[in-house]
Amino acid sequence: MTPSSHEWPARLAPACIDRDAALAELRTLLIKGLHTGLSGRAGADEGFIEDVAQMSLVRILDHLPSFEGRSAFTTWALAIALRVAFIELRRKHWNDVSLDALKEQNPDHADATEPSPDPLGQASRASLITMMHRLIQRELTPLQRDVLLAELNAMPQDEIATQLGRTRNTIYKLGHDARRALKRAFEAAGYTAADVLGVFAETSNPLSS
Amino acid sequence: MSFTSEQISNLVRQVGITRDSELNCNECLHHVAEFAECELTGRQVTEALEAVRHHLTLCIECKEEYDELLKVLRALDDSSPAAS
Repeated sequence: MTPSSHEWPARLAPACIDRDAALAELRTLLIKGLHTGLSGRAGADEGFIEDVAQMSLVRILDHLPSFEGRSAFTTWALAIALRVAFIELRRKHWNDVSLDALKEQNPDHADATEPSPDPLGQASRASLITMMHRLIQRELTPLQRDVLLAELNAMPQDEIATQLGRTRNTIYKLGHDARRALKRAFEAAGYTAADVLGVFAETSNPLSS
Repeated sequence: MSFTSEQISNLVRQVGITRDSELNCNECLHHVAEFAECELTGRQVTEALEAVRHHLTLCIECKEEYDELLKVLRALDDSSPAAS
C-alpha cells in the first residue's frame, strides 16, 4: 500500500524505524519517474538516473521541513528530482560554452526582418526592435546586459550563475530587474504593455497551446 | 555586444508580460507540484498559483521541468492509481 502524503515525512524522519524502507520506496519512485521524464534525453543513461535519484533523495530530505502538504508528497518529490536532473543535464550540455564566447558572437543585424504580407505590422515590429536595442544600451547595466544576452541564447540560469559567481535566484532577479527597467522605459516613451504585446500578437503563449 | 532580431523580438514579448512582482525559480519549484495537480485535475488555480503560471511563461527552464513533471504524473497515474 502506498504511504499517504501525511505519512511520508514521518517515515523519512531520522528517528523512524521504517526510514530505510521509506527511502528505498522513494528512491524506486524517483527512478521510475526520472526514466519517464528523461526518456530520449542525451546523457540520461541508467548511471545518470541512479546518480540523480541519490542526489534528489539528499535534497528532498534537506527540504523535508518545507513540505506543507499542499500537493501529494510524491508530486513534490518528483518536482525536486526533475529540477536536480535538468540542472545536471544542462551543466553537461553547456560545460564548454562561456559567456565571453556568446558576447563575441556576431549576430544578425537588428533591422534585418523577413519580408512580410503585413508591411504595417512589420514596420511596427521593426520600430519596437530598434527602440529595444537603444533602451538596452541606455537603461541596463553591463551585468544586466550580460544576463539578458545569455538568457536569450538559451544558456541555463544555473550555468550563467556559475560563470558569474552568483545564484540562480540572483540571475533571475537581474533579468527581472532588466525587464522591468525596459518596460518602464517603453511606458515613458508612450508604449503600454498591450501595445507591445499587440505588435507581436501572432506569437502564441507557450502555456496556452 | 549585440542581439539578433529574433532575440530582441523575444525580449520585447517578455517585457510586455513582465510584472513588478514575480516568483523566482526556487519559489516556482516550491509551488509547482500543487500547480501541476490543479492543472491535471482541473481544479481552480488560486491567485497565488497564477504566479506559477506567469513564471512558467517567462522561464524556459522551469517550463521544461514542469512539462516533464506533467508527463511523469500522467504516466504514474496510468500505472499506479494508488500513487500519492
